[in-house]
Amino acid sequence: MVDDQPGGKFENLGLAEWPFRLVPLAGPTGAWYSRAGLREDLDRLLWRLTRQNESTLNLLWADVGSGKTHTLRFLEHQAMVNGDILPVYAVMPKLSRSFVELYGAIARSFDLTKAANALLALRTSDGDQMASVVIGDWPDLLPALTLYGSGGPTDHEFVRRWLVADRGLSKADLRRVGIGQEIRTSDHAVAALTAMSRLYLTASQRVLILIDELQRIGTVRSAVANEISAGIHTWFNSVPEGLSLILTFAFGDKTHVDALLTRELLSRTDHQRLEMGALTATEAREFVAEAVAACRLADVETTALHDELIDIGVEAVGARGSLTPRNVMNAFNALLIEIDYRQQMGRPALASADARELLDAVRFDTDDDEG
Amino acid sequence: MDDADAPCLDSELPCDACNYGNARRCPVRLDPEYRSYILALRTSRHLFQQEGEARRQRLVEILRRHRAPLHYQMAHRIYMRRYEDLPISDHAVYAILASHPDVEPLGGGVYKVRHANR
Repeated sequence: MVDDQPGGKFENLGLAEWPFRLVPLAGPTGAWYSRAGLREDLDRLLWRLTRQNESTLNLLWADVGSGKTHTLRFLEHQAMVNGDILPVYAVMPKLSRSFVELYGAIARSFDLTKAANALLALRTSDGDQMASVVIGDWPDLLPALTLYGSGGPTDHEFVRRWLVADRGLSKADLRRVGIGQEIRTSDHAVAALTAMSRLYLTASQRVLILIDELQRIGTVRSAVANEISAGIHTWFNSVPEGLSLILTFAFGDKTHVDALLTRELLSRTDHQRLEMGALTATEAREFVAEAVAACRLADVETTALHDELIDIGVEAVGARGSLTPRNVMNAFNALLIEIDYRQQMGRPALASADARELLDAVRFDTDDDEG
Repeated sequence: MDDADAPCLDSELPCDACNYGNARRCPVRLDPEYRSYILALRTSRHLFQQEGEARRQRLVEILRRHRAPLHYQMAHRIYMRRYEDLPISDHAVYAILASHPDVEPLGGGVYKVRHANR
């Protein structure tokens, strides 16, 4: 329920905000609807990350449209609220020729201001020698982050391009600021990630790396997939404490996860696997009711989307597609737009038959669709 | 030998329709050992064809269940993990996926299943 929003745009619906989003979130979110079991698993995972020191590697499998990205963004939010966990959300690129592309995606999500501040604090408290030890795997981070901390926007851009393995920087420019080499190979990338993780861990109890869309490892040659897996497990091995990786996969069959990763990497995964399938009909009803309730105006008891319409919507999705959050959002977004339109235009309220007819025109993902 | 005996290679093909021409002197008909050898070869070829079709079906089922594009080498890994007693080479996987009407090539050795309703 949203407080102090009288007279909002959707007051006629009893809502302070529109409850249904059809595009993935671009940032962290604290919103969580239904799926109490998964929520408990996530809370348990976060509890463990703050309770224990050793590094962890978790796998999250989600069926297509099940809300995997939302779940990662929720974890990111919860980690930020926690304060002791530093989250980094990254998306695996569509095309990868080696581990370097995945590295670049992770490095693009690094908060360099935080890294530069951590380095400065470390140098101030423990001296340059200790700083060199912490980032010893990739010593070029020292001049790079020093430049980032003291320089202007152009320097920031330069350091960022170097750190994300941009190939367009000249050696002369790199030497001018004291950087010895570009990040070109998987070994370089692993070393840079190790150094960066250790640096972050001087300022935070844990670094949580959330890697989305790792199912894309299934679209590369076997040798490249092995190299990517090897990069992840070497990085993981190099940071035995304080690092947590969550690797997510979205495809139809959860048993395929094991075939896409190397045995070495699988042997390091945590026993707690997270899984997200379709919602049950009860969960779907709760999902809609909770999404609407979260956006309800403070002084409004009920909204235009009443129980009967919720039942009709869930039934329609279940009959023609999978009961995934994406399909449920699609259905109820269409219903709510129609309700809003009718109210705004002074037309008769949406009857059950009209709702069913409207839902017939909504396209739902089926089990044959891909993500 | 009785004319009603099952002929050699194909029970649906009567002897008088055979290219050999002379059913009474046909070596396959006259020699039970030879006939049994030929039948064994035929059974073996039939089983091989059946297994080939089963492999094709298994592979397409893997792609269908995956519901996302897969490189043929990764499809091979999934296949080998699931059917380790029925090995297949990654080249064979490539050949099957590249020629299957229900599979769509996306380039670079990546494939996905065509939608049934498209």
